[in-house]
Amino acid sequence: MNNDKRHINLEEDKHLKEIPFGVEDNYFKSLTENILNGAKAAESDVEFNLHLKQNKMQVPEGYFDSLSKTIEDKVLVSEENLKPLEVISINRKRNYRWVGIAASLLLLASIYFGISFNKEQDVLAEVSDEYLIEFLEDNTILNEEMMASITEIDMILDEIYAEETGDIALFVGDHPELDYDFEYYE
Amino acid sequence: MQDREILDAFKEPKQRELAFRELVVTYQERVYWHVRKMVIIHDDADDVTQEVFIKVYKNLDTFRESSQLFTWIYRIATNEAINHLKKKQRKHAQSLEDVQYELENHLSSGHHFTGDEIQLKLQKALLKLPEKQRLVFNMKYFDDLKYDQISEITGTSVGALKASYHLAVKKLEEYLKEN
Repeated sequence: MNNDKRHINLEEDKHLKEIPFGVEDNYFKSLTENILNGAKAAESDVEFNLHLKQNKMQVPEGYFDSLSKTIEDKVLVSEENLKPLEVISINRKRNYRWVGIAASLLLLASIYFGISFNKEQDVLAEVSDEYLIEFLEDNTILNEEMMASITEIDMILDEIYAEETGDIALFVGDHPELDYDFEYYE
Repeated sequence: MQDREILDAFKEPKQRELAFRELVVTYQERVYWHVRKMVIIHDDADDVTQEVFIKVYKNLDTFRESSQLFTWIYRIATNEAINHLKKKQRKHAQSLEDVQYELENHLSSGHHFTGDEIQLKLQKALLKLPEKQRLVFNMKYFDDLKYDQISEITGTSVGALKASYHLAVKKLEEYLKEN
């Protein structure tokens, strides 16, 4: 072939339309047989035998008619067996003492933590801005590292998901324009 | 046997096998070449073609005849061929460029390739196109399908297909001119 930059017109150059690939002699004869054998083998696939989805198990005649009655009866028996719930009155004298103690403890705890929080704010005020910036930057790096590992996990999960949902879903996801009605997948 | 006869016969359990054989013999070469132009390697095309017909066999009962039988089979073949390329890419953790490079090498090896140098260049140039463009070009240029047929197969509008084909031709001619 010469290397000059001549213009090639695909529509006019008819010999380019010929398919330049070859197959061995009698290839298509053997292909037919392979396909037919494959189809025969596929007949035993569970997905192909839709009748396998039918439920072949049986129940005694009239079972479902009496089932609801049986359930209702059992529920009634259980309700009868239940003891009435004990109502605890808050008006009982001895409870006043405990309620009082709990309220006092709660009050003390809130005062203590309130003071601690204020103290913490005071301590932070004494820390230099440079140190705070350094600390926050370190934490950001840590968060980024954590995010990176989460992203890795996400990627692994994505891969598993892609494997599970199959190639069609993946392909259609990549090419939404090809998301047409797949009659043969119904 | 016409498509109608094949479909009717397939519904009869006694004629099912014969009908399917007829379908395979009628369409296997067109399917094979369509797939081969996409996946390039013969062994891959062989596997994909068999897969296509197994899918046809399993789903022919659900074929609603809203399109031609040939269009329906072509659509399955197209999906299977593209899925094969995607699978190959993921299986070997390759990029699309890696797969293209591998296919280019296969073409250069001359294995099962009967064309001349310019045809080889055209095939290599085709590998540089996005899959969808390559698909449209193959169906229009080599298979002489009409735009509305390609539209049915790919689910893309005729206008978009025309634009895609025109762009593909332009890129290919440019590549052939430069190389």
